[in-house]
Amino acid sequence: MGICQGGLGRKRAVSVDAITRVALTAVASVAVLAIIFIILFIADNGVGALRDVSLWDFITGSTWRPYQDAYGASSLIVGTLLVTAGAVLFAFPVGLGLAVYLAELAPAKVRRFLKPAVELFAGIPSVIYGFLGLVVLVPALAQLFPGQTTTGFCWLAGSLLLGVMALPEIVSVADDALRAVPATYCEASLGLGATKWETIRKVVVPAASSGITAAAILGIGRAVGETMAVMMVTGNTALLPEPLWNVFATVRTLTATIAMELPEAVTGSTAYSALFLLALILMVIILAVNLTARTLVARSAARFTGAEPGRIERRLETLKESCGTVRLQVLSRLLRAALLFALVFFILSLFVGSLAAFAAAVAIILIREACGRAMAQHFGRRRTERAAHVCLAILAALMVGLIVAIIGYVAVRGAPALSWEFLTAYPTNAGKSGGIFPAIVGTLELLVGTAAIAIPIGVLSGAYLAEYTVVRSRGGRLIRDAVDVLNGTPSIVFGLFGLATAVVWLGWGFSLVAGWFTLSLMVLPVIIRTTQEAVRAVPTELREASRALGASQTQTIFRVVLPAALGGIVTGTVLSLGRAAGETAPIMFTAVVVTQSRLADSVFDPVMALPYHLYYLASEGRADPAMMFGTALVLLIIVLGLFGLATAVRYWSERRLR
Amino acid sequence: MIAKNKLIAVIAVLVIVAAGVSVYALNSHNNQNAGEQTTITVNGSTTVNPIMLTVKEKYELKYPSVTIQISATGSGAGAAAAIAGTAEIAMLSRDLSASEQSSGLVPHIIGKDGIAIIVNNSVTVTDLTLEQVAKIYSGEYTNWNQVGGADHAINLIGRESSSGTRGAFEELMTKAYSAFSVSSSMIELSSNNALLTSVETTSYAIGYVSLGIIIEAHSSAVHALKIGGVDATIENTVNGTYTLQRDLLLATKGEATGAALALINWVLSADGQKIVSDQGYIPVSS
Amino acid sequence: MSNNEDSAVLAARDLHLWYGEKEALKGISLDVRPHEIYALIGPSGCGKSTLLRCFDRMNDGISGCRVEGKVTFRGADLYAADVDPNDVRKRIGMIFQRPNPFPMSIRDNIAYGPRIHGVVKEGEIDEIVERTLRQAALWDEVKDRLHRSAISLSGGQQQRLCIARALAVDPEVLLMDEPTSALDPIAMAKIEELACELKHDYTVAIVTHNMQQASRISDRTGFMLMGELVESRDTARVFTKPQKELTERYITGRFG
Repeated sequence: MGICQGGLGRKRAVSVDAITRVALTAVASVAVLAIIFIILFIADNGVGALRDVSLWDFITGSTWRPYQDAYGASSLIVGTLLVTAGAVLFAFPVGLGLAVYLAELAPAKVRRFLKPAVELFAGIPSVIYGFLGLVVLVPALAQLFPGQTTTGFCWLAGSLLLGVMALPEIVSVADDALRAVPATYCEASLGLGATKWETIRKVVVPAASSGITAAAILGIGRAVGETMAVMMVTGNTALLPEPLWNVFATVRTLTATIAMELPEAVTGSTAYSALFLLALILMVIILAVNLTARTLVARSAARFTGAEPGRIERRLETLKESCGTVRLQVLSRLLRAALLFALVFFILSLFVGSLAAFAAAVAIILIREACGRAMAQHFGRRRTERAAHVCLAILAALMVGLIVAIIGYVAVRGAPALSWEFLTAYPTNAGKSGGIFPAIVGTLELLVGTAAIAIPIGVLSGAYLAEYTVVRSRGGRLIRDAVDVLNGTPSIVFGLFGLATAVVWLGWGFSLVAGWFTLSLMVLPVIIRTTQEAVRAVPTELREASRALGASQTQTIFRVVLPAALGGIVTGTVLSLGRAAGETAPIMFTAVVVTQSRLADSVFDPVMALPYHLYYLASEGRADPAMMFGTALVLLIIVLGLFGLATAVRYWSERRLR
Repeated sequence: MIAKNKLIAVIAVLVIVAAGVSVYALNSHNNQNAGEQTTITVNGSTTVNPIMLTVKEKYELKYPSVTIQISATGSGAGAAAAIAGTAEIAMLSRDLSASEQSSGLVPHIIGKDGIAIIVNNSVTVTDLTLEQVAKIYSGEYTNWNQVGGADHAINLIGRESSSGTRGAFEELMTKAYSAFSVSSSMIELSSNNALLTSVETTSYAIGYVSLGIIIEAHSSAVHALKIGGVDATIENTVNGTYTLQRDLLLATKGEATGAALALINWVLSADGQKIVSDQGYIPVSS
Repeated sequence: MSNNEDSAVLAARDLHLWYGEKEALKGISLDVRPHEIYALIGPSGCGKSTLLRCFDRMNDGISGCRVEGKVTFRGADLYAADVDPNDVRKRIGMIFQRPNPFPMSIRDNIAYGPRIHGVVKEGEIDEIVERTLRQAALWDEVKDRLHRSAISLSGGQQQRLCIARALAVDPEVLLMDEPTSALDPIAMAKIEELACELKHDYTVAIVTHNMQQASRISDRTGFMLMGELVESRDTARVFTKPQKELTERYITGRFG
């Protein structure tokens, strides 16, 4: 009775597929474990502070002087919110305009060159933005507005930098949302005689509104979590600006506080715990932000695929119905007016006093509301369209110009420093002179280890999520949520976690392995997400063909799906490594030292790294500009090299599959 | 298919190259020392930090079996670490307190440093007496016009409680003005450089930093005040006419032994003292 | 227990299939006899593809899919609990509506199946590649470029490659799900010719929405409508003297 009738093969007791599934589930659970551990460790280290101060006082107190036992974080929270608000106020309209241009107006040739340029933008490390902010933006502000700021360190500088840094993310997501709007909507509108610009404004953008809002919110998330750039340009005073809207006041963010005070806090002291508590507050803000973004993206996706709306979406829909369409329209008009008001007010307040700016902003809003339509009609629909097209094209050109300027400036000022000696010698004079050889090697060593750990875990987790969780299982959703949270976690929180876990709890001290531990966790969600997308993009027909030939699911995944998705996987992996190469905050407390006279002997030794070295030179070491720009240039070459490689891989793989 | 293979080959080559560099780096110096690896942990003053960082660079080259780990958390924190045993050598920019001495710390003076009183260039004052400085920091003088400057509130900036510079400064202030007690409106920062940057960026601000650091910084946004008519220079510190000065110490719990002793002796040698003066401080045996 | 059932290669007895609440197949009973071409025709959505996919358990992966009744292959129950579905699919091959070669070389496409099932020697692989490409009438066209990507072939060539790939695992039955609906008439003709050749060595069941194709190449035809098998007889009879009125109306184009 061993073989069935007809000689059909017998199923094995434990099939290979079952084993594979269990194994992949285990690997994918690393993400869940990671986020659980992170929250646990941060909370555990943070509650110590609550012995000395109540949570309410901690959040609402206005004096932050840890050495005087004053732990009131409100000025820090407000500082974070102000800098973020300024950044988004500037980045959202610009980003939306760029996205509209990219998605709807740019000719194909321009788009093919512009889209990678935007992504290149995203690759520039935050420490380089901070550095350029320090040496270019801050003195420029001091010169342009001498009456309002003597030194140029201010909230405005932070917001401008953050805005530019959040721009690529906003543009990418909004671009995707706009392109997802079915062409039939456009065709219907044009068929009724509307101009292209009117179609964009009234049909396409509203249709993509969920995705666009998600873009704004993700930009917010990025801004909230940013550390290095704000730390170097905002002046870092833990005080509330007076008046609150004075963009030239100096502020300090939550992230900067953690980064600045942690090196000096004694492990286990109240000051130390207080910083972990700040990190917890930061996580809560980010979680709220990400949850909102995800709900909106889901709604936007559901609208087009006609998928069953989830609970939250249905509740939002009933809310919408009960509000009534008219009321919603009024609300949205008010919102737009408010945003415009804020923008105009802030821009004008740079040049004239607050009262005058306020009056002017109100006047502009009223004029727009009252006569806007009449003015537009007088101007003519065709001319409006052409004007809009020209303005957006100029905006796009400005952005490209900005990228070129940033990279060019670093290249021009850094190139003279790039001698063979600079690249191969060790630093001297407390790290401020000499060469950066150990920093280059250290960066590469960090990358290699991170890649070795994060790539296997990330690729297998991503494959798991894409292949096995088509059915909406609890476990699959949990893993996906964990990956999302990990993705939004600020890099400084990873740094804190690395410190608390690898350096202190595991006892590895400041070491290469601690750096690997922290950086792999940081890049894991990126690799998982890009692998997931790459695997999902593999057409189902290929899977069916494989199964139809008698291949098991395991064989199908490893022999057909993953090889077919290889292009996307490699792209995502290289991109994440590019990010890891440029990050400072995760390695600041875990792996790096300021100067070394010989390379690390073992993985338990600390290393030097380019991003941290640049930060140190710019803020603590007061080094020779040539050294700083030289370091920045080498870092930029490595990071942009990796990004360029990723783009090239993606281009090749797309061509192959076509 | 062939394009894909080429791509994989390119990436593989890059990975191998990167890995090779790292492996080479990790191994290359290992072979040099037959003996054991010693680590010396040093912790403390941000004033002494630049000296010890440069010492580390030269010392580790000379003695490849030694690794020096330095962190700058402030004189007080450094002393506490040495007492607790988590650091072998503490760096201090002030004298040991009575309790630190009774806990067993032994000082080794490795140099001297002046304390410069710096003001933002928006302040027109160039010369103050020690007593005037003490009264400013007590909060008795709150406006620059009380000491001969423009009519503007004084922005008071100082160091955190662990700072040796602060400790030394306040001791000197108490000697100059017996009723000295630090004003609560003083903004506290946790390193020499942070304080310097803050005075540079805050108009009408006053602060105090290590003389060595202000000399090295060549800052164009602040100037150091004359104290009682005497310029804040190394020469004046050496000859004693500039009275705001303190000793720089390396302290160990109990008498220094072994690797720590060797290091301290080296800092006191001609090579080490040259580093002290290069960094802008005053060597011991000048 | 009729004669037919014993000699049938594939048989369904009172087959019901549900996608969740919706019943897609309602009590289907039919035979596919050895070395014949059996065609399934009917309007869109009648369940022909679903039925075809029951024969190689390709519906297994679809969530909410439930099968009742009996489906047998040479008398053995395909849905018995201890049957290995991968082995079923090795012995019953499938060609899909849109050609779906892997993004690999032509040779690797064909080698995929044998390699999965344990063939490692390159010499054996070469043999299989040549044999199946000849069977699929593709050898002469591609013998010089076996290492080129399969994607570079034309639609018709890709479909023939898919047939060769399916033949490489040595099946006994070939299920073809509208294999020519994505191809031009010339390519279609070549596939039809191929199917007629293949039936000498294999048994073929083909789903098609093209009645002329069914009448051209099949020996027996089944007409399906809304999940039910209306009529299943010799092709000639079905097209000239259909038993049921529904069949006649479909054939004469009055609906579907």
